[in-house]
Amino acid sequence: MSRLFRKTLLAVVLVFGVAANATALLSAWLLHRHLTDEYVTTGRAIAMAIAAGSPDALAAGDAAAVQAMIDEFLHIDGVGYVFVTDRQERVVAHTFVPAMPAALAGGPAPRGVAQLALPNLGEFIQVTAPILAGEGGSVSVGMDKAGIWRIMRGAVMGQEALMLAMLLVAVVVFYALIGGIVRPLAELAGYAVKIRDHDFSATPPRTGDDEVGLLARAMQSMASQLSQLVSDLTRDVADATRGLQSSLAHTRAIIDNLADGLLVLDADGLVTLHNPALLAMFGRLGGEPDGRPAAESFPRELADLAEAARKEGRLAVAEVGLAEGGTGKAVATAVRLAGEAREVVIILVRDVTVEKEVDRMKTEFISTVSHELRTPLTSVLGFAKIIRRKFGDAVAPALAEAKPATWRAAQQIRENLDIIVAEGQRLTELVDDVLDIAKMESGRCEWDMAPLSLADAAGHAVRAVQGLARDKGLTLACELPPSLPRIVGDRDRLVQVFVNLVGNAVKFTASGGVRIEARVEGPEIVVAVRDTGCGIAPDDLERIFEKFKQAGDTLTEKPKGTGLGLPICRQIVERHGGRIWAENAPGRGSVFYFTLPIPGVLQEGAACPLPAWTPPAVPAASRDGRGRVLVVDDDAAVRRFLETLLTDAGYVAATAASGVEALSLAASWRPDCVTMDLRMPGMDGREAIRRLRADPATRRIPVLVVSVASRREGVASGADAAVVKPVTQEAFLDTVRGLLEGRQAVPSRPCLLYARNGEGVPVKRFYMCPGESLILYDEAELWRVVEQGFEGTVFIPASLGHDLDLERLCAAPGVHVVLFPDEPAGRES
Amino acid sequence: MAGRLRALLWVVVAASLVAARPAPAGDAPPIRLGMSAGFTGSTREMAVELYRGALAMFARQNRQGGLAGRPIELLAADDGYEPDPAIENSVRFLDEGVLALFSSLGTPTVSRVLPVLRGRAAREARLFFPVTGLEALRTPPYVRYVYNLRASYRQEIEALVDAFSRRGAARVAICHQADAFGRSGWDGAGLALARRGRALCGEATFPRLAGAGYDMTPQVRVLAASRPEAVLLIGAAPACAAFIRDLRRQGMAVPVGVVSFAGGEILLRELAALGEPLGLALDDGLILSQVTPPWRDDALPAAVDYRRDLAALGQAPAPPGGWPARLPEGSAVGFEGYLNARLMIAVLRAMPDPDDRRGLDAAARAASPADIGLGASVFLDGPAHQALRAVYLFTAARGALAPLETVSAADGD
Repeated sequence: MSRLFRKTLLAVVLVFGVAANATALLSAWLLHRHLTDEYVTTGRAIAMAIAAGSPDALAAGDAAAVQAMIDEFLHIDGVGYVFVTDRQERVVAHTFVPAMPAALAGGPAPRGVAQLALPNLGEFIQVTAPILAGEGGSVSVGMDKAGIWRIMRGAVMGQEALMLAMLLVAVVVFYALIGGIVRPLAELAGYAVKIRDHDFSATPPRTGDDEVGLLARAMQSMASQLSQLVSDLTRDVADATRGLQSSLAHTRAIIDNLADGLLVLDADGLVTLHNPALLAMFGRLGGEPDGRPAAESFPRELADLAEAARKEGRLAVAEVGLAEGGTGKAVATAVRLAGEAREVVIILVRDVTVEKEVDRMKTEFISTVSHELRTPLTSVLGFAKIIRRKFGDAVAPALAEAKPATWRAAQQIRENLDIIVAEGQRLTELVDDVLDIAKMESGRCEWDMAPLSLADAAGHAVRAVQGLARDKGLTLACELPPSLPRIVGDRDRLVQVFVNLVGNAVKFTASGGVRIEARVEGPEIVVAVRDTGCGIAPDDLERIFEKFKQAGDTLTEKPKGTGLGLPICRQIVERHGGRIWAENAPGRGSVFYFTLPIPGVLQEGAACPLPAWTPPAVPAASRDGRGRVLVVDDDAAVRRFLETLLTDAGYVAATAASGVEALSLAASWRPDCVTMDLRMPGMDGREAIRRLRADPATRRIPVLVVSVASRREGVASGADAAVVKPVTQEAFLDTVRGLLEGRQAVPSRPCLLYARNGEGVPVKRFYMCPGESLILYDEAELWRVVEQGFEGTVFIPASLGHDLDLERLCAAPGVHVVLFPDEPAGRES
Repeated sequence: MAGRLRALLWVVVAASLVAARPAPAGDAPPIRLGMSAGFTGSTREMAVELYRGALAMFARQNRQGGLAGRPIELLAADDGYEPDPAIENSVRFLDEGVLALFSSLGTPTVSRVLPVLRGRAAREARLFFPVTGLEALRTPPYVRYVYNLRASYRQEIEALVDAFSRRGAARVAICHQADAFGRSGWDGAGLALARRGRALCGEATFPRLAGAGYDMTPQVRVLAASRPEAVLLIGAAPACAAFIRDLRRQGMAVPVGVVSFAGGEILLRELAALGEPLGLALDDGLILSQVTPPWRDDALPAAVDYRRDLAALGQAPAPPGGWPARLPEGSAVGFEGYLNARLMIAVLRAMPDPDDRRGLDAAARAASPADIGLGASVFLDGPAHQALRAVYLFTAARGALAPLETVSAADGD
């Protein structure tokens, strides 16, 4: 049965049901009313008839006659009971079986019409009529309401049955009618469903010329058009798909045969594409990485790299470890695909294991060569200087009287010696720089990161270059504002940056001056070194930070440096998380900028421990007026050189070629100081120092490490001081002097002296301080410096200590306070 | 109705055949009498006995040549003990030209026929010897059209109440048929008790057509609530038997008085039939009033004649519904029918023209005193038109009526 038919049938049944029931109810109600009226009328008529016919019998006391009369009426439809009372309200006759209900027998019957409910008998309409106006008694007729209900029930059921029959007839007629409409419609619907399912071969139902037929023909025409359309579309799609597939295969082949690993991540970091080369690089054999987080299948670095590329929106480069210990260079690019809101990250990984290895070998080679160059350079340069000095001191005066040819030759020797020294120094710098950059690039450089003040580092550099600038008549200004925040960095390396930049500036500036400035810009400090030199060609602005590249034509111009200074600076600055670049205005000079990040929370290292205050040892010279120095080095040239330096400086020097020899000499000869090479065959310097320290007799002898190793290594060996080869005469002798006069010659902490204005400075007291200690005479100045972040030892004469807020001074971070007794002014000066 | 008519026609044909066979007077037109009775329903046995008794007398008379050569024909019609058929039967009999209505059975039926008689007063319609003790038959206005043989119910009930009274039963309750018969009994009981300064202590009714299977327990309960010392029972034999059965089953052993309409032997037979499966002797404590003397009394000529004529009846015309399988040797009701017929013949003899109804009243007067074999003459010319006044009380003994006493009722009117 079709849905249409069912719906309509339901509606018909509903309408019929409602109509039938409503009609039946109305009929029942009308019938009830009518029947009730009729019953009352009937009852009244019967009562009146009996009342009219019974007076004689009542008067005669003939109850039987009355009974016979009322029995007659009992048969009338609807009459439930009849009873007659006489004038004394005594029931004379009644029709009840088995007995008259107590409710009625009790008292006089109510006149007129009354509704009664009698137990066990039912409900009645009782009509009571008087006999002879009550004189003869009364007649009561009970009309049984059950009769009303029975008739009503019969009528309603009859009506319902009639309605049901009509409904059945209606349904049959309706079915026949609907069938004629619905059958073609249903067939048409089936046809439509077939077309929906793309069965265009289906035949339309046979229909007449009515609306349904029209619809069917229209649908058939539509279906044929659709069929044509769909087949065209299908062909187009097939063509397009073929083209696409071939294009895809082409692209896929390219991707699969890439030598580099290719990885594409979606915005969620899930792998969407990869190629076999990538899998091979990371040694992945099984498991399909597509659709899973990159970190599951590949090193963490790749995912981090992708994240970085996405955040920064530009190329991100990182090195990643490959399978079997190789190294890969990963380049990530964030790409927004056309038509897509989301970004993908494309990562290309190239196996650079071989390149890295070659680079490492190269660096190692340079490092080794440089090391091997340094030791002879020390000797060559040292002796050249000695020769020059001795030539100047001893030979030149003697030649004053010599013949002009000799004198000229002497002059030429002297000039040649100057060239040898200068070139030696240049060679030394070059070797130093090459070594530095080799170490930095190989990652073997150690960084001593600690909180520091930039002003301090800059000041240190300015002092180092001061002499050069003064020679060229240039002004050197250090204008670092005192409010500059402290940073974290390797102080020595940052000093090196300043020295390089300022040195460069001085080198390339003919007149004017060099100025160091700094300012806070966002999360970093920007330092600028300005000069008034010749400037840099725009093409060179970037190139000069590459190794061995200098501005200008190196073929025609004499190089003024090693060409490694700026690359080293870049290494250092970038290692500190900063950037370095140059800007210029040709003719007006150039500006070198570098930035250093300001650390969020400065982790102040523990304040430097205050060195034990050891009273100055009795100068070793007091024994024989001259200090004894033991030189330990396995290289005979270096031994000779150092011995010469010491002897020339007025010390008594002895030499030892090995650790064992050094120990025995130290024990027997009792030197005041030992210079120790660390890298020696047999017992090396470290072991020798340890043994010296272990022996109570030699424990107190200060040891100076002279080595190609870093100063840090030297200090770590337990020595009291260290100088790095190639040794400069001044530094070496200064250090030796410091050791002999005290025990700490190498300044490691800045010192500050607060003195009464005009008072002499007891210089000797401050042998533990760098040569140029700060001397302040103004209390306000002292506080300003301390608040600017001065770190180090503040020496205060006891007489002044009373007036100072010592507690505040001691509370300042990194500041140690030393009170010393006043000395008679001007004793030394 | 159609069934009844067919039965009537059949009876008429049969009766003519019977009448014709012994009739010496060839084709003399018979003298016809119409009898309407409940040949079906609760009064069937009574009606058949009544008819048989009457027929026995008429047949003997016809054998002896009829009346002046004319046979007496008794037409019987069944009214089912219902008033309307009774009226219809009576009207039809009168229209068909019977001389008179004869031995109509039942109070509710006869009481409704009375207005018909009154309405046909101009045509001298008379009812002779209806078998009912209804008071209206013996009092104006209807006494003019009716002649009675038997004592009235009032007289019967007076006798029964008297018997109760003498046995010390002061509280009397009544259970009666819910119709004019029952009401007349109720009326009589009220009067009888009123004469003794008492009233009925309880009353109950049962339907007219109640049979032996009818459950009388509700009626028994109603009466038991009034704690009667004696119970009057007014109804036909089957209903009376049913009541007695249920009364005894409820454990009430009070004496029960029944009037003649219960049928005497017929009631005893019903009681025996009902009591046997229950193991009860239901005829204990019964007082039965009868309006005829014991029909087995050999000292009574009428009783002797009755038994002899009944035995000689032979192949008589069957009543509506046919003859029952077993016919009793005789009965009080049959004896009453026999006596009715005997007095009727006496009346007919006194008529100069047995076709002229106008002579009936004169004949009735002329027939008095009449000897109908009861030892004493009977009179029909009293104000109540009632021939007999005696009420005979019986009790049951070994399934048969045993005379208890005879009460000669005073003429109430």
